Amino acid sequence: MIESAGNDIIDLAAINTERTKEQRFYTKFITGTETSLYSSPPLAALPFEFFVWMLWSIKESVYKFMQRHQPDLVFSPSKIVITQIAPSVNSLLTVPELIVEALGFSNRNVYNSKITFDTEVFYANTMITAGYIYTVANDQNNFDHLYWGVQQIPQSDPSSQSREVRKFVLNKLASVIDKGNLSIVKNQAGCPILFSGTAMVNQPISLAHHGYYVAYAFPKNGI
Amino acid sequence: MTRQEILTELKKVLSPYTLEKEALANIDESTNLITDLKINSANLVDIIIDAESKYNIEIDYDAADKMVNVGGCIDVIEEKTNQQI
Repeated sequence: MIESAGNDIIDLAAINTERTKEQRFYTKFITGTETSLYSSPPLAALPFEFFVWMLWSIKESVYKFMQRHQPDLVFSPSKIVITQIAPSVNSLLTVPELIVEALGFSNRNVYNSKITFDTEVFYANTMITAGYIYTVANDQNNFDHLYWGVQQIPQSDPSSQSREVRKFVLNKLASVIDKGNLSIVKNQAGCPILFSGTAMVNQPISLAHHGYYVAYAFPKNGI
Repeated sequence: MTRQEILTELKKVLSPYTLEKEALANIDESTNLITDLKINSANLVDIIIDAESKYNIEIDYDAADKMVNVGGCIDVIEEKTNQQI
């Protein structure tokens, strides 16, 4: 097991629906075999643009998971290949809550996917609401030890997103980690690193933001 | 087209996707689209599509991977436009 974290969020109000459906757009990161996943009946019930952005968020989450250990890794979405997606039983689109946080995904409607990247295998859980698409990736198909959260924010500019996502995750970390004066600094590769005072804390975290949503994921094991 | 000319035009391609107007005005080849211009990664494909339309080129998977910083974008646009000549 790799000690890492990877998550990604897509604000559905911030996507360009028409452009997403254009072949020249989605074929930039979705391969032919991945497109064929959409033909399975439960997935085909999703709007196509949701399917496209689900795949994007899965690929980006896996990339973030890997990047913590390979700082020079370039995001090549076409090389992160989604081989299967098992849809949730009940895929009705729910109205997003202002804030949702949990440990694991039990009793939640998720799309569970399997991904290959080079010789490695990854798994992801994706939640799709009427407001956002949210994915958490892992290197085993067990998410019970992963804390995650999604929050709506009042402003969508990058500095607000950055401030709000830090506040959101630090608030959660402060409640589950026995260290004070927590802060987050991004390393040169853009990976968030947790500090307690001036000491680096061995706790992988993943941050995400898009439009009016911010999100975090981190494993319990590192605490 | 020189690299400087491409860079000047590239600013127009990037402009709709960044609020960091001062950083955009001062970009150089090392400027990173995500960390320096605060462009959301969800817009990277938009930038590739817009660059394709602007220069009438086709940017494939491998080329798209290089478009993480301004220098990489210029490399790809330069290479693809030269292929047309």
